[in-house]
Amino acid sequence: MARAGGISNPVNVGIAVQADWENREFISNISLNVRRLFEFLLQFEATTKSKLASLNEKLDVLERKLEVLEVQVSSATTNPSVFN
Amino acid sequence: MEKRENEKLEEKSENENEKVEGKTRVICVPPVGRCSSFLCSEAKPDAEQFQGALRELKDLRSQLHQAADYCENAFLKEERKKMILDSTKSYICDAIVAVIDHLGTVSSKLELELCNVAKATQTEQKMDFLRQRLLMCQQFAVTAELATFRYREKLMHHHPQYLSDGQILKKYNSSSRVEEGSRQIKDSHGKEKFGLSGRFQHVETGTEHVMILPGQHGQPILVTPSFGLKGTHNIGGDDKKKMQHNFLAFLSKNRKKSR
Repeated sequence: MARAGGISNPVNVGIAVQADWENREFISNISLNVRRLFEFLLQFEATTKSKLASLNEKLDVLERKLEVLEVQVSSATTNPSVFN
Repeated sequence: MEKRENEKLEEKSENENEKVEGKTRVICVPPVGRCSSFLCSEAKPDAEQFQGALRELKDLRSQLHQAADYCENAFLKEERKKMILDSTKSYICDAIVAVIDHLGTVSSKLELELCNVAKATQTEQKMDFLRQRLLMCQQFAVTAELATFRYREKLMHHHPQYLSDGQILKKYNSSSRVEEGSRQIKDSHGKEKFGLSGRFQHVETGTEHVMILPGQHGQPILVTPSFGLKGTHNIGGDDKKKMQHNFLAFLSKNRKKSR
């Protein structure tokens, strides 16, 4: 009995260790995938920022052009003698 | 989908209550709903789709927090820890897949919106058209005004005081400069002493400017800048001197004006 108990103990320990190793492997896989997800998010944020900045620049240029056009049209309508 | 998930969470809480009462049950952690918003909302505009996907992602986060708390409490209280652990592992795998799916939809919606810059290019084109129109109107107005400058019904008239009986040239050559009109030089008493009639013609012959003046009897007189009279025309003594004096005065006046 004692031998059986002694044999069962290392078996139990081995099983527990194996289970522990499986759990650790699972956890490492999950953490690796979460880190990949995080890297993707960082990259996506950088590209989105650059695209938004370029769009913002375009809109600024358009706004200035529009202001110039407004001034020209208003001056033409109010003072037609400018062209004469 | 949200209602179903709420129902499932309610089931979990009921399970906990049952355990508190002493009953043991197999904890079935329901999988996270893999709802991809892509198929559901194709008819909606891009902005609404992006907003919807973002909202679902935030809801998923709250659900994951609740599920994690539940699993932790169950593991601590329950005796069958291995079963709880296995169910938790499967739930984590499904949750990660759902999170990746939601993130993919959100990022794709956002990229679509950013790439859809057609409106900006259209407005840019419209503004360019407007600018072209304005420029055309300006040019038209300028050309119309120039036309009024060039064409005149009334030609330039010289003051009759300076007109002579001779011809008045109208052409301007590129090689020679012709000044039309004539001048009458009067003395201090107002009497007409000498009239230089006809035309002045400045001919650039190399480095020298030569003036051609008509004489009294039709013969031309050449005059250089040195104010020497050249010609065969004979003029009387006093008249000649007076003529020279008057002419020199006239030339000096012209010089001052040109300076």
